[in-house]
Amino acid sequence: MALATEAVIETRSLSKHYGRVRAVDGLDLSVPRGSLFGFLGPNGAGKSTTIRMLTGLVRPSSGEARLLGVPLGERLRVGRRVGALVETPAFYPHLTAWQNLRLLASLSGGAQEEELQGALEGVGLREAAHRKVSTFSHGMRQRLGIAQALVPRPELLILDEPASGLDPEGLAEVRRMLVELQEEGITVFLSSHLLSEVEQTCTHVAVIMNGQVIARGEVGGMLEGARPRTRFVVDDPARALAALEGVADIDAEVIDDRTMEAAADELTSADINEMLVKAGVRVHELTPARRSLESFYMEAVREWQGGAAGEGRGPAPELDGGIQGSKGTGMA
Amino acid sequence: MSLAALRSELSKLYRQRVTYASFGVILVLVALITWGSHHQRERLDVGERIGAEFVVAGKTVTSLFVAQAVMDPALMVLAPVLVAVTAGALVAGERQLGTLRTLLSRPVPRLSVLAAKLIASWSWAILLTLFLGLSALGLGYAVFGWGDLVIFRGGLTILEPNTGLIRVSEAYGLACVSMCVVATWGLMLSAIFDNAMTAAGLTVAVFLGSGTVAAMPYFESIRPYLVTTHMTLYRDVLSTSIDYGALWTSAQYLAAYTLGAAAVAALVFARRDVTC
Repeated sequence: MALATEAVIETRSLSKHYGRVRAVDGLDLSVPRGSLFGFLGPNGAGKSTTIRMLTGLVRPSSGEARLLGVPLGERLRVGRRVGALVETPAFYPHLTAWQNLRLLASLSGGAQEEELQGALEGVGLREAAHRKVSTFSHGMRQRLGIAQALVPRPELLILDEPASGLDPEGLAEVRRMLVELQEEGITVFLSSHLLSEVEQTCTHVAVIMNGQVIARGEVGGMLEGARPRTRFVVDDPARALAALEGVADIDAEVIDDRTMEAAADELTSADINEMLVKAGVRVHELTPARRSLESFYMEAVREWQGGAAGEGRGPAPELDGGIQGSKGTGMA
Repeated sequence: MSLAALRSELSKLYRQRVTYASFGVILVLVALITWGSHHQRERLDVGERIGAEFVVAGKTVTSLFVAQAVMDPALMVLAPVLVAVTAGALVAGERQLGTLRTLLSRPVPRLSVLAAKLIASWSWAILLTLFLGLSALGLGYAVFGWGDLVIFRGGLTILEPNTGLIRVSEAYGLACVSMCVVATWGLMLSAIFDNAMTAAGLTVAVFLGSGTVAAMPYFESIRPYLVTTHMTLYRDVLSTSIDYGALWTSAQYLAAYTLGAAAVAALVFARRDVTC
């Protein structure tokens, strides 16, 4: 089977089964060169297993994958051009950050001292370079994890939850760094469940559920191409929803006990407001609702769950705390 | 095997302070045996053992005597435990720590990593055995001084100092081979099990179990095939004449045990998913 070569990561029907559990199930993915690609999904969706397969830690049960145009089985040929951080970074605690970095870089063919210094400086660990890793906080280890993935300088950077455990300042630094790396031409593939982070940094995104990609695309296109939405603060959202029922152009949903959102192609927010008022609904506030990656994600999950129920597939994995709140609003 | 992988394994092993704690344990054992030899030297007197048929002049307890006297107690239990603890942690310990994930996501063949770990474990086994010998010689020299090597094993063997030193050196060389077998088994079990202590414990259990079975009279028929039967091959050179045939047989058995364990370790390590 011929796979496109312009993609730096390409998978076709990639699967990993542990007994009867399908951790990754026929994954089709294409990561364009130069992109900052967000790989989204709830806990247990198969993000880490996919990354483990791409980094050679786990053998696929079936399917095909290519890294920088090379089949996964020949990964070592391009290994020096790929940097990776897989899950929580782990280091040798009795060695210093510098020693850890040099040791790991040596396994990728070595790196110049300037490269090591640059990587540590880039993640704000220059001062701690000669401290033992056993004295590092979780956030510092996370930063060191990113630094080790950057030596030697890769063409493709695979990061599994790079923002995990970072404070707001660290998050902003990582975000800035990722954008800079992408601007330098490095393709960044990162898994995350922090939707706002992905929305702010990524150019492309794919959503994985139960080991399958259920949605994918360019972030800009997803957010721009959506139908205009309006948020209405009303005294009785249920009545408001009933008032709009049957209008073909309108897609409305109750957000909470005071709010309702409605999207329409032809009708304006003024038209919808008029309908509500005519139906005796008191409208207190009316604001344009910005479509976010979160709403895109929730829609994709909802559609998938609907499809899964129709096809008799198992339920989607439970969403984690960070996303669950949104689920409440999106799924109401 | 890549040199970078070997350098990294050696660096990880020898930069750990806990590695050197084993030297302290060895030193304590050597000191105890030296102290015991000093206080029991009257009982160790050759005259008492062989009666009045010979007249013995000079010292019977010397540094060479201490060096050979520490071998059995140290190499039968203590050294295998210390080697097993280190070798057992080489893969399973890294798996527990999470560093195996970091290590194997680098572009280095798994077999290259395993070979580096194997050599690192052998280097440790050899270093520990040589340290045992050198510390026994040193402490023995400080307490008893230099002199002949007197061995009571299946009779009396007296070797003049230079020959004695050569024989003791050869015995420690062969003991290094025995400890490398322990290290290889430790590494194999480390590749199979997720927990470093399980791997180390099982390694010790294999060797102690083999020794126990060998000591039982009703297992006499399998005794020639047990690993512990051949791990004491160093004893063969501590006698007046050396049975090279028996040495060669033991060496072959030890090689088979080593290669078998290394092959299983390679098979498991190359194929096993890194999921933690």
